[in-house]
Amino acid sequence: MIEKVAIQNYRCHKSVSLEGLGRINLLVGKNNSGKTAALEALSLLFPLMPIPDLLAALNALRGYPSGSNSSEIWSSFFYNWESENAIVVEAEGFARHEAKHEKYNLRISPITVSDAQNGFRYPVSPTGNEPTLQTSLPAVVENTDSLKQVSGLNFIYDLKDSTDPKQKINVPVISLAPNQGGFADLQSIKKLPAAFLPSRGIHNPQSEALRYSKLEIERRTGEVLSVLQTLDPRIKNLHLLATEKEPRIGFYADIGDPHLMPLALMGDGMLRILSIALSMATTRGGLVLVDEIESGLYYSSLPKVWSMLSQTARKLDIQVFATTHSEECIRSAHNALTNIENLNDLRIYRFDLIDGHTRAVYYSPEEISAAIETDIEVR
Amino acid sequence: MSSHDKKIVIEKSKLLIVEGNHEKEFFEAMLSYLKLTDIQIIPAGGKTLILRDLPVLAKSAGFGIVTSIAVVRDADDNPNRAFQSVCEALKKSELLVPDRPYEFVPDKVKVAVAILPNPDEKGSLEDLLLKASVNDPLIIPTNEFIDNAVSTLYTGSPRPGPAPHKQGKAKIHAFLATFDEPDRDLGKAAKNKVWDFSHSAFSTIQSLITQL
Repeated sequence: MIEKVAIQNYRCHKSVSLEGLGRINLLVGKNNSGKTAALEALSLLFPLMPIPDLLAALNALRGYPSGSNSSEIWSSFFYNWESENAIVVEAEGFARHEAKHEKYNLRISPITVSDAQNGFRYPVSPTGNEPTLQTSLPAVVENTDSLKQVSGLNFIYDLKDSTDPKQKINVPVISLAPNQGGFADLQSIKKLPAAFLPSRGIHNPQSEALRYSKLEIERRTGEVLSVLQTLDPRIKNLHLLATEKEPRIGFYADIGDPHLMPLALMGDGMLRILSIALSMATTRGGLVLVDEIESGLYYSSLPKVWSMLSQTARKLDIQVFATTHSEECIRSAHNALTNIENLNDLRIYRFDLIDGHTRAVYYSPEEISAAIETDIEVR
Repeated sequence: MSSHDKKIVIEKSKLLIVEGNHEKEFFEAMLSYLKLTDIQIIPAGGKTLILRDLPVLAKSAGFGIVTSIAVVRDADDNPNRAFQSVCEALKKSELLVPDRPYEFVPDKVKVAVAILPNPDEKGSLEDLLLKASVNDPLIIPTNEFIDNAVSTLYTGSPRPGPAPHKQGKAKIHAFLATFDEPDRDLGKAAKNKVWDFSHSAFSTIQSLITQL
């Protein structure tokens, strides 16, 4: 499990760290206090898809253009758009099934026009097609400012806390278009499996169908079914179907009626829980990152959701990082997870943005109890 | 602090931490008299909960704007112990601790502790109110009533009466029962101008509050 995360120069974070992390980590705070950015930083350290695709997805989730390769797009990942200060994401903790304490480190630096002129070279891609930076350069470089223009990002993964540069893995990214640039083997930098559930665009049928199919092959779909049943005990079975009317594959629930019920008609909360359950079931031993976890869920179901999350996380050795704006969500997490004897899974952190700098404030279970009883705002 | 109040959010740079909602209303009336509008009164969930709640408050998102804090609590049966209890809460909140009551310790957030009725006397806010009520013709019979009741209980009844440091509370309850609305608490009574805030009994606490 990761015990400490430190983030520098990423989005709104100049420098912030989360220490004493637990199995379930709930991040609260006002808008633009850096909750989602913290999840993003973790998703970059433990990438769940090729880096260019991930960067494009992260910007797309924020409604920011992802197709362009302008200097502005690259700089948008840096604190205050100051790309001269490298992004650093560090995690410390214990690797899976190992007692050894480890550090993982990601450093993201800009690739500038000047770098290209000085002979910056990319590793050869697995397909043998070596991209050249020239393709993304302006035809004429007119002045020194142009030389500083950011043309890409260089990701340096240090997964062994080593001083030997040969131990580091370089992933240069020069385009956010699909299947271009960033040719490092994903497996070599995938230290932990991770899943990222954004608050928007929560339902991705294609990806969920793939996850469910994987579970079906492993005869583990019961794990997802039991989670859905915590929300609606009527569900007897779950089916993944393609029909003539609906060529896209979709989930259907057997609730005892003559016809199966499309899960999409059972409410946003059911789809949200399906996404969470599928992500957890297919991320054994890894990280599940959930943005605005309460999204789509009725408040009275939150305690059940937290109990389910905690049990599944323990069973599958998963560490969860979730964000929320909801006081009900904080209260229900606290009540569901800290009243269980010998269970101390929950950690609650509030992100603050003060004078342009973020900080993370940890609340102990006793402090959350006091805040709830005395009505002190913790968000 | 309580379930019926809205959530406690720090909105002002000067904080007056009091024991509960009755005290909150009382000090609201006093601040109104003093024409001080830049002080936020925050009620703890009770005197024993100051220790628990102050550190949580100090972690609040808005605490960064705070420049001064005064914590007000009753002496009860031991003024020194009451002061030490607040000091412990301040330490737990990572705030500086004053050497003695009614003195500010200067820091980024300056801090003071007020013990009522005063730092070397057992009792409570109500004892201060008794002193401020001395010119009211009904205070003498209500005092006599409680004194007689207490002595009667002690001499003959198995029912325990109020301890000496709680007799001020008993007298103020009895005193307030003589008004047109006999069930007013001291907070509402203060807002109904039962006490004259220009009385010298209030000068020490008012001096502290104006220094916030």
